[in-house]
Amino acid sequence: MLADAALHLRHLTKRYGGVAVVDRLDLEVPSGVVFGFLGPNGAGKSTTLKMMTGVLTPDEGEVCFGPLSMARDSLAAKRLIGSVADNLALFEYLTIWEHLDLIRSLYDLSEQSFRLRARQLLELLDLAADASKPVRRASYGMRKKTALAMALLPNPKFLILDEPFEGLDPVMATSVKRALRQAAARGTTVFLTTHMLDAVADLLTHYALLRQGVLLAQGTTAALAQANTTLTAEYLRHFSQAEAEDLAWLG
Amino acid sequence: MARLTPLLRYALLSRRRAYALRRSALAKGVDLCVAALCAYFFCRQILLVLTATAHLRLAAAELLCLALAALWLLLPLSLSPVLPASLLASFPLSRRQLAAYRLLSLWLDWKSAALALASAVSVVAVAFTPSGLLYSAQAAGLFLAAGLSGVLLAQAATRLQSRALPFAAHRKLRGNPLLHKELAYYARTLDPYAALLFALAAAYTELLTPWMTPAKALVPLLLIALLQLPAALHPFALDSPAEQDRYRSLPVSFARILANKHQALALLYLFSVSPLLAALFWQLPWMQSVAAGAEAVLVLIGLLLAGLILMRMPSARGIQMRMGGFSGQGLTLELFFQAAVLSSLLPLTVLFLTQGRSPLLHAVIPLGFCLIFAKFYFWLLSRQQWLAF
Repeated sequence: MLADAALHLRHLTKRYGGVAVVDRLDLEVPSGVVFGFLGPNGAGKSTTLKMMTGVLTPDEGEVCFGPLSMARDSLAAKRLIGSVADNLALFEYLTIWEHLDLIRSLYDLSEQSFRLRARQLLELLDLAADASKPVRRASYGMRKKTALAMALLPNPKFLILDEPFEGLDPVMATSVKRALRQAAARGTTVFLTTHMLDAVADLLTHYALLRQGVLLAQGTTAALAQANTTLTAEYLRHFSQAEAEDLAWLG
Repeated sequence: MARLTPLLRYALLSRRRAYALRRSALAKGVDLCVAALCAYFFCRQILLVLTATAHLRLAAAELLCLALAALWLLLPLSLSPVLPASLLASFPLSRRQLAAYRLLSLWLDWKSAALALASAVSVVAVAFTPSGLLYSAQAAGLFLAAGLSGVLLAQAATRLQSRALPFAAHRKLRGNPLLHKELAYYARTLDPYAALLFALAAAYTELLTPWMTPAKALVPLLLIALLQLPAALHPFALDSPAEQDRYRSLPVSFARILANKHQALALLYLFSVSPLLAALFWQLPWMQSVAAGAEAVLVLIGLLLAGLILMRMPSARGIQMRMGGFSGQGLTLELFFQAAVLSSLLPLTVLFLTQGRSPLLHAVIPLGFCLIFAKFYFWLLSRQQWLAF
């Protein structure tokens, strides 16, 4: 058990139609780290993230952010979190700017700090020119960046991000990675899922591997480097698949 | 045409499957009854034309023509192109073929075919009255004008769905952003505008020939409120699952989110009812005007209370609302009656209690009920927990 653990998942379980999508998951994440929650499609990553952000209620177990339980103190816990969901959870008929303004009022940001942060975020994410565009008319990349800006704006203690780099161009992904690294260095805990292992190998400090809702392995990327291996190699070691049959008719 | 045939065949199949999947057995039963009644009246009218044309009264024919014209007006709003426009655009079809498909796909719905048949019969029937040919041409012109207006109305509704927001970037929104969001959503349905048209018509009749008392004004007030019933029963009907996820992840209680939705509904109700209230204030003595205003508020409280009480019923979650359209698809008859009774109970009780009282009590009793039930509404609202949508 980690002494300085900031985020605890205890026996977290979610079932759909009797099938456990997440099965008695125990995880402890220290503060100020970038934690990669990895696994193949259907492993239960997004379901876990939804339980962590209060979107889904666990069938068993609980999620705690420091002393705050998502079940008992959900409003206080949610105030500590900034999140990007797999479906981005944006209001289709509001503009990008209105999304940020909504966050301002709900997280009680002062007008001065809101203006400064919003301007910097819009510039960082290259959204300034499109701020008055309704989200339903924005491209997928813009929508993803809007969700990221909403997550970062209140300067949360915990960033919970589902595939944050999917849909971002390499330049933008580099900027976002830098911002996340800086946030972690100042004490923010970043918890993210991704399939782009090579792209995040230099960002992650900790990782966990999940298959069919069960935790397979966890550790630090520093330990992997000491063992002279990489995160991608470790992932493939657990999730390698028989080579697919050649589609001779294709091409 | 050869290219359009498979497209139309699959469009028909798609419409049939959508109908089979979405409509409840009760709704299908109601459709069947409506279809049977329509068939009966059409057959009766044809018989009238063939056997006793001299007895056909022009007034009755005019009424029928007006009713049919109203249906022509609404038809383009209720029909969909079946296959999504984005999919159609990706097919190797010329613009002429696409236009032909859009025209033909209108007739895949039995409602349009039935309406065209009924209109044709009406035009022929009117031709048999004295000066019939003139009236017949007028009726045909009326249907054509109503149909074209309907198309224009449908286009306006599409624009309502996609129009740009009038808010400049980098400007702080005034007031509450959550309320602003709810207003932006609800104001994009056609319901408040239909209610406004109804209130304008009622106000026009009142200004032309004063006929309303606070008691009689209750009828149009309730009808206007009923147009907003779907939004009160399923306040999240316009929010996609992703948008509902955002609500759940925000550090805001369900009661506060619901309160914002109700505030938006209340503002839209007051907007739509305002012409009628203005006409009443203009025509009635001031004490009766206060009573009519208090009744409008009571109707609103009744509507919101009915929403709070019934929104947890599984049938309420089947209600569908869409931007640029009328709401109420999926609203079962049973739920409609329950909600209508619940929302009209409060104003009707007040009406009963004020019968035969002095003008002062006519104003004081509704105001007192407004205060008591507003308090009850806020108590009930504060106890709301998240729904499992």
